[in-house]
Amino acid sequence: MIWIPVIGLMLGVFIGLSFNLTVPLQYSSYLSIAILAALDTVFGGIRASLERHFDSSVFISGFFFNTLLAALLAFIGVQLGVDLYLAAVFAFGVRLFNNIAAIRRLMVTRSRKHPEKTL
Amino acid sequence: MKLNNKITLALVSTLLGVMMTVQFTSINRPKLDSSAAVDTLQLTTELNQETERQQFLRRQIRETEAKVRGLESQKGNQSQLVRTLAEELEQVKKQAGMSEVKGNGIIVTIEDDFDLIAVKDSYNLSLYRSLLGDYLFRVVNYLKGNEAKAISVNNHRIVSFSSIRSIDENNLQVNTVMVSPDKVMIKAVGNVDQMKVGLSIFPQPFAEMGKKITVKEVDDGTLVIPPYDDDAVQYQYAHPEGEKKL
Repeated sequence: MIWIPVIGLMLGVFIGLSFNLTVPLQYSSYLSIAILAALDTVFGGIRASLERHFDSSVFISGFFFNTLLAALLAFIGVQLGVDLYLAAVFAFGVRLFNNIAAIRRLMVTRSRKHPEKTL
Repeated sequence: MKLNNKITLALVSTLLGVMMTVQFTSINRPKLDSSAAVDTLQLTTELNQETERQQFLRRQIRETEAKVRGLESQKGNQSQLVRTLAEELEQVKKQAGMSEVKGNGIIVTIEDDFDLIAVKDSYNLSLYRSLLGDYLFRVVNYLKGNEAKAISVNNHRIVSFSSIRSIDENNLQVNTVMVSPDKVMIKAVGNVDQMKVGLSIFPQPFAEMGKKITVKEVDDGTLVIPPYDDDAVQYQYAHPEGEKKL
């Protein structure tokens, strides 16, 4: 199951490199914060699927909503002259580490239950 | 995990991969060569100059069209037509340097400085003094290039067919007339500030000739530039095209 997002990521990187897409430098800060939100959502999804309560609707809506909200927050911050994007960086960063830690614990627990199974 | 959920996760991961690649390629894009970058300031300056030029040309077109309309409307009125043509002729004479010009300007005096002559090597001094004509030509050329409307050298009007020539260090000709090289006075009517800018490059070469250069401003509109000396040029070898001769 863990391989699905990995393969998806690799496919995405391949597509991105094939089409050689770029964004103007002034928008790259918004894209970076959107990527952070998307990363958080994907790790959240992996965690939910390991905990057996993955919901694709929640996942999809969370992905797009978080991504757009983070970019919007960064944009508003620029307009107001306040580094609002730091709030998003902090929130998503903490959640990212929490999710990764939870995934790690879940996998360790599973490997103990099924020692003959390889990950 | 259901197949639907797997597909969703794979699609979102793919999208995330694309976003990450786009961001990476955007940030690590090779920077443009600075020489190839467009200089906005230069372009703005050029645009302003061209806009001014365009306005000037449009103004000229309007004036000329108005003249044409005026002449056409006066076809029946002979006296008015003659008056208009006389005004036109006066204007042409002024532009050709055939009439006196009065206004603000500068007087550039280039005269012998005996203190300088005393300390110069006589051979080099003689060599440089024979170049006086060339440097006077340069000064005149510089003034013309800096909005001088009319120029005279020792009261000889400089026009399109004028000449300044050093025969030797003691003989100078302006408009084929001999003038004294000891003291040369160049008068120029035009934009005073513009003409003065850059005249600072000339003292050094004139100093090598044992001459000093002084610039005097005339800003009360009393500087008079005489007309071109009559009959200095006879059209003996050239005639204007067409049936009418000068």
